[in-house]
Amino acid sequence: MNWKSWYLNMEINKAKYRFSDTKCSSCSMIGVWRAAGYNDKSVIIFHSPKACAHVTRELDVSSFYYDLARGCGQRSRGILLASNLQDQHSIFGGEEQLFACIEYAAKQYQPEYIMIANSCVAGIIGDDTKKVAEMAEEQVGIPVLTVPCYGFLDKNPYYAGYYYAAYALIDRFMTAKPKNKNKVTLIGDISEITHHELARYLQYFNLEIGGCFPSGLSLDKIKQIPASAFIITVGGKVGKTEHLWRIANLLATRFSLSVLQDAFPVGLANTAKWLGTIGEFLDQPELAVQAIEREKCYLDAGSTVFRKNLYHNHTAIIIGRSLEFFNPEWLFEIIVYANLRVDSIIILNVVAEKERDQLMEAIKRYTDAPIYLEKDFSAEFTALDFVLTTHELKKNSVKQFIIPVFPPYGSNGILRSLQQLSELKQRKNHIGRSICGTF
Amino acid sequence: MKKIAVYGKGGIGKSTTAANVSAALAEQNYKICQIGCDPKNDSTRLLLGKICPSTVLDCVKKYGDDILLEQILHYGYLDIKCAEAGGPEPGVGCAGRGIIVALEKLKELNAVNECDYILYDVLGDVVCGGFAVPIREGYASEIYIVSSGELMSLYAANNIAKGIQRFANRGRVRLGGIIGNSRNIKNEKALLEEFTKQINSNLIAFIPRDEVVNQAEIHRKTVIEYAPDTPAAGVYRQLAQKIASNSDLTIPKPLSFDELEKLVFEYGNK
Repeated sequence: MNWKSWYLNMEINKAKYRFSDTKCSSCSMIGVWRAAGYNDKSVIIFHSPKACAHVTRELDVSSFYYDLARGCGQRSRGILLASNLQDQHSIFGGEEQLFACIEYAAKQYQPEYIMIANSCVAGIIGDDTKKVAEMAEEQVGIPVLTVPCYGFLDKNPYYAGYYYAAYALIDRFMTAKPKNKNKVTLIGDISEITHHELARYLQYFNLEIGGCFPSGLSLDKIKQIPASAFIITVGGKVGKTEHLWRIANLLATRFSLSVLQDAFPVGLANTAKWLGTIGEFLDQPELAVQAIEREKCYLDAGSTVFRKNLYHNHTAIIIGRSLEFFNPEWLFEIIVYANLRVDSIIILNVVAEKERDQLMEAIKRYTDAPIYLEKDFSAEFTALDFVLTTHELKKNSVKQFIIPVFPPYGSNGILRSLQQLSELKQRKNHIGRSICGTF
Repeated sequence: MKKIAVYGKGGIGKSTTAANVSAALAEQNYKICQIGCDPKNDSTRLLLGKICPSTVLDCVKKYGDDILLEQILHYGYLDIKCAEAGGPEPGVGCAGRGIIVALEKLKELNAVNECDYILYDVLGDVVCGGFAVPIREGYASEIYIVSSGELMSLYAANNIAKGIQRFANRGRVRLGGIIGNSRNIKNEKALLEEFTKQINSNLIAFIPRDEVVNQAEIHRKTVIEYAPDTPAAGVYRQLAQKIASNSDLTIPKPLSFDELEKLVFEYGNK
């Protein structure tokens, strides 16, 4: 295949992979829903027009089926209601409407608590949600929690909603408890597979996960979090974990809990570092050494077939993301571990000029392969087995491994990526030429 | 049909001026409609002899979309059509959005058909987009600003001029002039004349302070109705005449706050 002719056709699927400079593009209500909507016997009320809840529901369903297709899938257990603000409420205020919605929720679902998330409309017209919640709580006899966020009106709205929902749960339901030295609390928004992976690691230290706060817990489990031996921040997004740290630090301050938040177990080196940190923290470094060794064996044993299949395969790397959304360490660990040959690296024009140099410097730490800017690229290449790309390429016959924004955790994450690459290589062209590198 | 909006600082006398202009025009057999765009709901009080019994937004709240014109349109002195947009209770909801909805509803119901003059009496300053709707959406094409010679009143007038300037560039709205409503400030008329000149407009009338205006107001009447033969009534009739024949409409050039302060200082110290 003529690389140049392939490359000249390299129109990226911008609609599917768009990353903006803004910190987040979801509103605070979705943050509240992700934080508390997966909890048992909770009702989340969006003080908003009906459409906001509808969009959230659609997002949730898509996310569920996406996960389900990958062998997991956590369904929301809470109930989502909207107070159904309409034009007249934007004029006269929506407090009565919200009160009626809380009464309905309490009567219909008998939840353990109700949490209210405010929309932009509620923020602009200045509805006093907190006052309504206090009055309604007195009336219905169920805790009614609020968050001081208003749709898109806050800075980094999704994270603000997520943090304040967690804050409300901590503030309202948690009290100091005697510590259980075997229980660990995770802080973050992680998949079921990641949860299992971390549980497996913690077993090396005779620890078990008490819960992953704030999402997916019953009220009883939420109340037990102060009894944890310590807490670990996990999940979150590349460079976007501040809200998780704030939650962890709040718990640490209020309930004298220690926090581990140094690294995520993504890739070989970081998984070893993560295990080492836990060993050090528990003052049992020997357990960490054993765990690291066993994980290495586990990985080597599990990857033999894939590595054989991928040995000296030719690839190119195409990058269209800044370092905030691209983790070169993880990618090059996979490349080295699988013994892939990188023929070239192309940085797409979508990477902002000011971020290109930084990105190139970071890549050079891992490889001697030539790096080209898309606009300057003119070389010709022979056949490639597949490309590793951050952006799906349109109209190309080359097989593509889409580099995930958030690489999968742990040894099983690496195994999964190797398996995907191996499958991709063996795929017949008519089956499908791209595979997404997430769990 | 001439479509006019009256703006100005809160409490400066917009409603009194608008109601007297409406009454003076109605005396000349023109068909008039006055629309109050203020949640306080008191623009048409002097024409109706009482507070408007049902506002547009009262009816929107009560009946939703099924509103009849007779529920929101009231008839006052000399059969002047009166409507009040209304709005939420103080401290609740969004009055600006209310104005938008109310004006749309009046338009939908053809409330102002067959009128020679429509007067929109708009709340205080242009505090948000809702209160700019009469300027912005083509409801009014001539804007009159009521102002005294007090600094804050001129400040509000200057801000309103900024709003007009913004929307004038994309539509037909123009500033008809400044209506001086005296507060007995030193060199007030001269100051207002200079201010209007500097913002590229005219002082279309200067209404001297007169106790009869207050007397008429406490009797729930316009001066035109309460004391038709007084000099004050004459001033309002003259103003109405000038508005009717005014063709000197301009795009204003607002001042900076420093320029405004300097002007007020200069005339206040003369």
